Amino acid sequence: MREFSRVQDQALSLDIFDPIQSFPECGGIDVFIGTVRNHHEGKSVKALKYTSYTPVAEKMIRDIEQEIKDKYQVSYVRVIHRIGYLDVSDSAIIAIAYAAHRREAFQACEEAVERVKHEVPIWKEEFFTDGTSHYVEGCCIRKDTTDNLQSKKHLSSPLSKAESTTHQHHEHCAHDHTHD
Amino acid sequence: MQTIEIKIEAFGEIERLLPKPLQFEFAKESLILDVLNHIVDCYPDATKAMDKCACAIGEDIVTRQTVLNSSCTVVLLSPVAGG
Repeated sequence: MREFSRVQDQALSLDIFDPIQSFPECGGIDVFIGTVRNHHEGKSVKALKYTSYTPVAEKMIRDIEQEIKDKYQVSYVRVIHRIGYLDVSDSAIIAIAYAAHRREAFQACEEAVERVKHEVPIWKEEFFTDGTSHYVEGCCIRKDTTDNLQSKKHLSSPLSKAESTTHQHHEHCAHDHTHD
Repeated sequence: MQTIEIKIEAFGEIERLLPKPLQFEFAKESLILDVLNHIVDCYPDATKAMDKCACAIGEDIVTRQTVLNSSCTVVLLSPVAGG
């Protein structure tokens, strides 16, 4: 199997993946390529910048690939994600699945994209043509929701303004869960 | 009292709310929760964003109850939005 980084700072290419010829038991390939679009919520987008916390992102993408491969019994699942500045129409993510039958290939590829978008520590900053920019609001991956700030007595001088909110995984997810 | 040096690396939304570089000295065996509380004490504007952050050390996601026995970098992971 080819070894490559799942988080890449150069242009993404399908050439990086193992060839289908290495999987003669497969009868289908599903590929998703996510690209940068020129608008978001009515504003004109000039460019995007993706950042990642790569030590965790690399590990999580590989774990997701393996879990999906096992779940759908497919032969090959890979996802690569771009970081850095991207222009409109540049590729931001590629997911690929090889399977014996089309349905499993579709399912595996779709779930791989969804999980990487919503679970892996990668962030998207949008730069608009009006000169403004912002981080796209995303999915909270915090799991220790009972340990809110100031909920324990370990500090000698706790904050008086502290909030005691609780939330569950994905509660703060504000973007749509689609393949865009 | 033995102390350890904790560096903070921030990603996503919270990165815009905290200065760079950011590091503190803490007593050995402090919790990550203590570190986060100290940060929002110093930078209250980051309180809401901090509540949404997961934390990591190296390649592991860790809980707020993790005990810090040695100097390290605590990474703050804001809600994610890849793809």
